[in-house]
Amino acid sequence: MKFEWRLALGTAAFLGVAGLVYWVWSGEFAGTVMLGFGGGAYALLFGYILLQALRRQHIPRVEDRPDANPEDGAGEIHFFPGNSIWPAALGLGAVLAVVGLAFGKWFWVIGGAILLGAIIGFGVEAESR
Amino acid sequence: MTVVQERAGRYEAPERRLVEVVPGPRARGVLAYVTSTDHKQIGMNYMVTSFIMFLIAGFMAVLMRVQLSVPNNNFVDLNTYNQLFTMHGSLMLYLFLGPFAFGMANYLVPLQIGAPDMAFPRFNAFSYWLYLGGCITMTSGFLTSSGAANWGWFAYAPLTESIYSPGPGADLWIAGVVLAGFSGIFTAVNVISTVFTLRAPGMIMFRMPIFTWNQLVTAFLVLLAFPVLTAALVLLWCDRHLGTHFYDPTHGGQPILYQHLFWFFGHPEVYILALPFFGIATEVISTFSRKPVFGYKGMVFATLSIGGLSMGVWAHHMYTTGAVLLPFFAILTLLISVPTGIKFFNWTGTMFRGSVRLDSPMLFALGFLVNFLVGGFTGVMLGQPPIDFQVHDTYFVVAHFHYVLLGGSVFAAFAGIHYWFPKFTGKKLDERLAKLTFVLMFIGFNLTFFPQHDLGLRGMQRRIAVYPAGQGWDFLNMLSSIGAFITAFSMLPFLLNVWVSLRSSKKAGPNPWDGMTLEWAAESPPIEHNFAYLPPIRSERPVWDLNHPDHLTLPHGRHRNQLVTVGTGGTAGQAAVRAGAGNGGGGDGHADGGGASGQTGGGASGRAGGGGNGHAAPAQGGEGP
Amino acid sequence: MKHLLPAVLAVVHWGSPNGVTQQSHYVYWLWELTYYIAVPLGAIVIGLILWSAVRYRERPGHPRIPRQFQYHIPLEIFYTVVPIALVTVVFVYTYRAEDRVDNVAANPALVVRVDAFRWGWEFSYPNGYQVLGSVSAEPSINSTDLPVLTLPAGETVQINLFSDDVNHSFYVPAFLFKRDAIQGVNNSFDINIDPSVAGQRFIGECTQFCGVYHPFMRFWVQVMPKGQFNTWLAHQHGLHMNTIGR
Repeated sequence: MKFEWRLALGTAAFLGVAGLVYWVWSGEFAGTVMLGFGGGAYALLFGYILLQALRRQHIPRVEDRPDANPEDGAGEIHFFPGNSIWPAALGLGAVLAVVGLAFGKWFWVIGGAILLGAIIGFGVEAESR
Repeated sequence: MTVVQERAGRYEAPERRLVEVVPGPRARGVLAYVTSTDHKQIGMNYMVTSFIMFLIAGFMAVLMRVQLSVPNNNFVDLNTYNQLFTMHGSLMLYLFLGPFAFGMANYLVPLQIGAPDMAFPRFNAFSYWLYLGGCITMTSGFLTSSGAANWGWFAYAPLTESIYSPGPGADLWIAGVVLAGFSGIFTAVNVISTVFTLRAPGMIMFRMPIFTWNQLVTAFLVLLAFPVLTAALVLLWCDRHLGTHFYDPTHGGQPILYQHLFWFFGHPEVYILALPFFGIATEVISTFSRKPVFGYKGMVFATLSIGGLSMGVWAHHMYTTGAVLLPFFAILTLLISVPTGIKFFNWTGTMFRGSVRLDSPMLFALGFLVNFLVGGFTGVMLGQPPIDFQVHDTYFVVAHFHYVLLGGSVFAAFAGIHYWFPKFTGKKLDERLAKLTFVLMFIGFNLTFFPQHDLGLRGMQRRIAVYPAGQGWDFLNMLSSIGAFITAFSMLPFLLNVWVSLRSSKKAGPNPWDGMTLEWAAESPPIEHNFAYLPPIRSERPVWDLNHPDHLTLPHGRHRNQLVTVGTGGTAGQAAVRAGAGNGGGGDGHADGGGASGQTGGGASGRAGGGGNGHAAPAQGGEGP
Repeated sequence: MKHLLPAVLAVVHWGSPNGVTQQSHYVYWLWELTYYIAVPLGAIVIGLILWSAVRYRERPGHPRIPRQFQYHIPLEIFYTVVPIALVTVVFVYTYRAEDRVDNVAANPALVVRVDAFRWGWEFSYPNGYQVLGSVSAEPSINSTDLPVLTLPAGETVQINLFSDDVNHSFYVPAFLFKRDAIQGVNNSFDINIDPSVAGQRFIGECTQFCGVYHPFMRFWVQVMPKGQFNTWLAHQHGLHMNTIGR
């Protein structure tokens, strides 16, 4: 995971340095804040990946080993859900709620109701895996 | 002592490595589409939907070019024209190019890294539905009584405040962009998680295909840029409806703040719309030159530095505001041309001394190179503040970004469509129609946009519905409009081609182009969860290593040996193609693509002309032991 | 040969027109620099691409597998360093040109206030004379009855640019220059028109989209010789109104 955390760290560092230079040179706030927060956000990602790497005590995963063969990865990879209606329902609710930005209350009520139902449905489905 | 490990049965399907739970009966028919969480289905959904958006927006462009073909025209009225250019830009940028790239990412990134699916399949489906909702929401502005949004795709406040632009069309535009933005963010999260956690064994980061690398960098940019856009638009909405004054100068708001927020999104967005397509061009050029990507690592670092620099150049869209720090943005902007130049030389180096097949994907990729180069140079000009003062917001800029986004990205997108169509559908597109598409598109595109450079230098400002005669603009505009018709016409052979090819019974097979990367090891179209088995991954092009074990990438510094010719078999490269799950993974003598210790490979039987070359050279291009 | 080359260059030159202000000559010079770097470089790169594609093309039915080389470190360093050098050169000249174009003199000969609004222009002179031109209800784009910004030649004129509502942009193509008018941003810039164009008239435009009559927001820049301008201005008073596009 070495390269993953380096990538996030590099992004965070670049944004941080750019933000600092920009602030000192221009004194303009909007750009400084955006660069700063961007750097902070990537620092979070960096921290998370680094934590994962440390938790593994630097034992490389099969995908980080240049000599690994396909069969070395045998076993469970990940949970992949089958068909599910809930993403579409969630999408419908969210879209209606956002369309409420244009047309107001009733869309929020209907969209919110569908959204709530979809979240419950999604949760129940995820629970039953 | 060399220990040769016993590896019998190595290429038989390994034990199933997936866990899948399907509650209840399998969905069928339309419900199967609606409920699908398969990355391939979702990727197709994205690509088809966004292509429809492309056609709609292209139609709007034709209407605009009709209006501008002669001076003082009355083909559409002023307000309609303003809606047309706004929605043309918005559809192309928010709803076509970006989502099309996300569709490509959805379909291809898991295949290229040997993953069974995206990391969060349901989340992935959710992001598609948000995007579809965004498409419907934004375009439905045309159905409201006051029409769609009419303020240009970057919606500068205070023009977008409710006193200047009342009406629901404007709010629907905001809602549509917010939805498309969230869909982009979710896709980016998914791409990053997939690339970081679901790679196949042996697929270290520096063996990922350039396309996947570019999609990863794009996802990083999306994560930085889209939340800022969403925030800017939410503030705008608050101004419009809740009586706040973020951008309202009469109450102490700052119009310039909107520009900062917007372009902090807008410039990374430009690279979000370009990097994936650079990746497509790289894959196509490499495959059709039968050579590895020249300077692979340099290419990756070039992509990373383009991504990085693009986060710090937003205000080069604001030079003429007189309120930004010019040298800071000028130097960073000019520096972007360095990694872009590296890419150009790498693309050329990939073709150099290769074996270049001029099939339709390669033609589109060459068209991309030529057009994008022109756009790149005008970009360097625009990056210099004094020149920008001259040509900003004129047709010079219009020509510039169409060269980058239409001549560049869209040509590369077409290269990608023609290249991966067999993978997506199992059928190859007809070459003659494809070449006709390319010729019409290339001529039409250049005829449309090259004259616009000159129009800009002659002082024609953008976003004008009418212009007076006698300013030296008439002939160039007519030329441009004729070009637009040719470009639009080039879509007919393409659509015909898709229709005819889908109906044809000819099967393309898993690897019709002698492709190099992992997706060509899967069936066409790939089976559920993609791979019945995986080839060993010892470089960034495992399928090539498998098919051409005696033509592995050379170690550094060996360039001067003569070309090696393969005895002719049947059609180009077909004989060498054996990858694919279709053969049941029955271990019938697959060549060992560069084993870890250079052990004897399987007997490479069945290779036409290859002649039983049992010894695989040591693997290169990755960290062999 | 010595005379042929400039003659050929004059004919095939597709670049920018030159401007009519002192500032614009720096812009034009920078343009020329970039143009003459970009065009040959572009020709070389496109030439290399097309040559590689054609020279090494594979005849259908005769597949061959070329040498699988991937890295050539010296070459890669070469084509990284050369662009960096070019960019550095361009940036240095950009910086100098930008300094001169953006320079605002402490003691200009004339200060004119320009107000942009939906949809029209207002030009205010130091002696109180004002020109106000706004777009009529049903404008025609062919009308030449536009507000006139009269300026002296051969003198440094400072323009203070304001917007009364949305964003606009003050653009005179012949000056090779534009500047946005944004509420909350105080924009000042200098122009110094060449005496050689005294007596001529140039078109000005709004280039920042500002609503439905955006294309009609045009004006004239009338250049007068210095002496004539001062006499002229001394005889102007009050507010001069006209309607664009009647």
